[in-house]
Amino acid sequence: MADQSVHPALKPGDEEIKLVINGKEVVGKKGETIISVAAREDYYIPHYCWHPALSVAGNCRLCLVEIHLPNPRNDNKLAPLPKPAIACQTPITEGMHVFTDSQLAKECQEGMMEFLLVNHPLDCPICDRGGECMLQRYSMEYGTPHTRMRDPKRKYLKPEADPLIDIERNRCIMCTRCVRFCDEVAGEHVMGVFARGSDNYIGTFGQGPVANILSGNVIDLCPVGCLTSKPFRFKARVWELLQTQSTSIWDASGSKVTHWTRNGRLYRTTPPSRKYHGVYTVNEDTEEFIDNITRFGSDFPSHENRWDESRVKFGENLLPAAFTEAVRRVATGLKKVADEHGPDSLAILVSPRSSMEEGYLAQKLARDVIGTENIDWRVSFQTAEAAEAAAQAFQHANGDLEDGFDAVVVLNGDYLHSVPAFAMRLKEHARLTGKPIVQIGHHHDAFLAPHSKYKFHCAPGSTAKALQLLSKGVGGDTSVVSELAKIFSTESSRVEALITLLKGVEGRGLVLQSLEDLNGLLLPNEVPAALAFVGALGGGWKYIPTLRDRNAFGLHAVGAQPKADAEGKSVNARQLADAIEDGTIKGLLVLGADALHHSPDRERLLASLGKLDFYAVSDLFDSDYTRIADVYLAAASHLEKDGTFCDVEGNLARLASTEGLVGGARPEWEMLTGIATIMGSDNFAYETVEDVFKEMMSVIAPDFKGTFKKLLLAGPRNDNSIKDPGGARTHTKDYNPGDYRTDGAHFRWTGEPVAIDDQTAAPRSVPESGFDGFLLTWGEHVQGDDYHLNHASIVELLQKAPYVELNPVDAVKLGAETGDRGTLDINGESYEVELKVCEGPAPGVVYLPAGLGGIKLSGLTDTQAVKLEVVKSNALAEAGAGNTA
Amino acid sequence: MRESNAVGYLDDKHEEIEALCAKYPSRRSALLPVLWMVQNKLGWVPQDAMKEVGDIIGVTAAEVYEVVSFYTMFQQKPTGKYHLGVCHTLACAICGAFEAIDYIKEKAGINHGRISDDGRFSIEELECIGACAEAPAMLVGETLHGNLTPASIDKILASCK
Repeated sequence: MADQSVHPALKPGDEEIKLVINGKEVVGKKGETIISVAAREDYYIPHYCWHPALSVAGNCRLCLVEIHLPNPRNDNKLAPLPKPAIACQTPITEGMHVFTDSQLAKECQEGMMEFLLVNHPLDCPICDRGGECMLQRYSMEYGTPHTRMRDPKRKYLKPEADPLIDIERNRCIMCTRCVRFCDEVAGEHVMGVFARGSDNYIGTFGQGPVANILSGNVIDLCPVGCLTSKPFRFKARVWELLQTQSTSIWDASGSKVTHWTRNGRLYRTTPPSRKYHGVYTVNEDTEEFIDNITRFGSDFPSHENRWDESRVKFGENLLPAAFTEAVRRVATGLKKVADEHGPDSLAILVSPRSSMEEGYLAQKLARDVIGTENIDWRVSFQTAEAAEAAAQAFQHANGDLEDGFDAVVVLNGDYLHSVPAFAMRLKEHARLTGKPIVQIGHHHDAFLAPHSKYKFHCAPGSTAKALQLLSKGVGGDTSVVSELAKIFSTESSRVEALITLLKGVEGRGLVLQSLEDLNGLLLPNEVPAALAFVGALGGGWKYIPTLRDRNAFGLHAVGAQPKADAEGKSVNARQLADAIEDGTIKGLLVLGADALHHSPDRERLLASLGKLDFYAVSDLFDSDYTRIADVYLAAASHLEKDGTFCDVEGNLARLASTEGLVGGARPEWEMLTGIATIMGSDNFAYETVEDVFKEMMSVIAPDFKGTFKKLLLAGPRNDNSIKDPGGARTHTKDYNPGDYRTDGAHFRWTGEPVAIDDQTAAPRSVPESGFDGFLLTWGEHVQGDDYHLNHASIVELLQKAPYVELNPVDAVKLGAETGDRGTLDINGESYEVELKVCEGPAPGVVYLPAGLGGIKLSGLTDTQAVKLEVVKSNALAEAGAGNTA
Repeated sequence: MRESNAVGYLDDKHEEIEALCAKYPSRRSALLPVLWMVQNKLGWVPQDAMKEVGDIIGVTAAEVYEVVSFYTMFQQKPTGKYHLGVCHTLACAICGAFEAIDYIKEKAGINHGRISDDGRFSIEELECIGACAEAPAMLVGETLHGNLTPASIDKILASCK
């Protein structure tokens, strides 16, 4: 077979090149550089500026190697190149002999180390990078132990640029990794190299912040101590900390992380550390980038309001009690309500940040023990219909970005601030492979916009209609072009080009839909439209719905929501407040109070809790939701328990306990097991959470090959290997997609075609054009109000000040530009916001990220006209500078 | 932060800038000429103007600042009405450039810093300006004056109204 002759590092069709590295014959593909081939073959070439996820800069000169080439004018005898060459930029050629450890190469490395250390201060004892510094390591391995430098070293003033990132320019070696990261991956040139020659330095314009949700990654990218983490500054030395591989509970992209702890306290969170040269470290060639919320916000369990003892109500007081006593109270409390009012008077609410095991046990408790369908996790949707539509979307999800796509259609949404790492990988996919992104809808992702080939704006509520027409157009109906052009307010030729592009995709295509947009208001129309669109495009097309809730897909998979056929017979999360008020629900068990906090009508829900006969909650904190409980169960936080999470692509990741349990807190699976057992079930005999995992997987994905243990290290997930989809990975030799992918699981793609009727597709009524204002759209923002983030130690640095996105066309009309202040009137209330002019919202539409600065959008049941005015005041302009992360 | 939301340094130059941008295959190529436009108008390039230029050209302020800080001929601090650039490289230094600088500072009233108290003059020491034959030499704006003597300096300063 032809495929067998292809080297494992190559894909069929790649041009093969043979070369020799240090005497060993190796194979690479045309266009590869020496350093990548050497890395794959385990020949380590020292480097600073080269990074596998970034473009080649070639300015540190440390990767100099000796090269001998066959000379065609001398009978192809090997002849040395007159000068050493840098391995990061020199492409491999046939018959090339590379020497990475010859006398010349060693002299070059030693010489370059001496140059790099000319101005580097000898302040390792007070440098936070100490212990994981590439400069320290290379000095030991490749440098000389003494210095010949007699002159004073260059010194810079220290800027206070970013509240999260500490810049110490004296230590900088000008590798420009941070500059290239901001430029290429984070998508904006906010960091730069300033001044010239030996005086140059890195920084931001006007000492401003690196205001990007991915900015924290420059800390790991920096090979020296120039960029370090401010919250972690002087807190601990890295070698004193215990590393635990785990996963983010913020980012539904499935980011993997390493938690660094000591004495039960979390010091920092980074992308997964990997073993390099015998040491687990994070800053070298880490291709996995995480968002700032995951990085800086994960320490919320050590908040002073933590209640780590269970409590039960005695009279009016909630007093500490033993865990077993609290569990017994919950079991008897639930049983009493069920006996008096029937099983359907009980409801269980599961936090979308619960693990799959917890969701599985909660639904098992509800269905098998109590005998009710009243279980739900879908708290953040505006309406019950939206939640149903989301369930339909999840049922049809089947895409994985890792497979690579020839075209991606992105529907309404702010993906960067909903699923940051996923948005980043999607953008990298487009940037590195050149495959087109098409954005359709009333709100485009501004982060993806520069890499989107086609951008079609339409009015809010018209997306479903547009997709229906596009489905017809792809099917060969040319009559829809003019109507589509009208919806998109564009020329027919562009619509035709789009249809040609979609039809021309022979391999894989992807349709991406955010379930976040307008808190799901339009989903009942848009989800069927999108699914019908995917069906019309053909078999190679996949579909991914995204939601900010970390374990939404996992909880859907284990069935932690009412079954589709139980409609009318069950109470879902959105109907809960009504059901409590009219007395249908008498007893409530909440697993994670964030489930209540993230409800759009949380004030009403909170007020209604008093009417319950029995209310038990498992949570971490002393808060409005836990103080009024009949029983408070102290839960283990994400740092203290084990569990499984599923991301938007249907891949599993393990949450792992760092240093065990704290105080009297217990993981929720233990509580549920206890409650069910006391209520009389003998089906809850689990010894460990792994037992729950095994039973759960045998139900939802019998073909799954991975194990609970393997999930911890399976991956990588959010790395940059996307530039070579399906290709060889250089740094994870034990990589096996079957360890975490759930392709075969039966909770994924049902295969049933979805049809959409004209009524569902019909554009929703929106206020007439010509009114004096804008149409408001909104969506959840990861940097907004969040139950867990509110308890993080540096929450004020992570939460963003309120802003609105505005189309450039409208900005010109208003005379506004990015950074200006404005006032937004919603429902008679006036809010002060910052304006951000970008390609995101359609003309006439403003996009307001929900939850920022306490702006509440609860009560909005449709897009509506709002008034936006630009404030032209010096005082305001000066006050509005603070905006971070 | 801009002093006002409405006023820009280049509000009257938009047509000129568009014409410039049209000359190049990409807009960012027009960065240098637009920065010169700012410097010719204001005598220096303030940070607000860098932001504004970035917005017009379509690059970030950081990129504009990279360019401005790279080329030392862009002034990053305010200059006087007349900017005096005195050469102090070898030939001029031998022929008395430092004495000339001291003399100019005294006569122009530049007591500290680089701007005269009345804001009329600012002074900068330049590397070789290619006028070694007429050393010591200085530039007033873009006009070259060679063979500086106390008398000729007096005359030059007096002609700068």
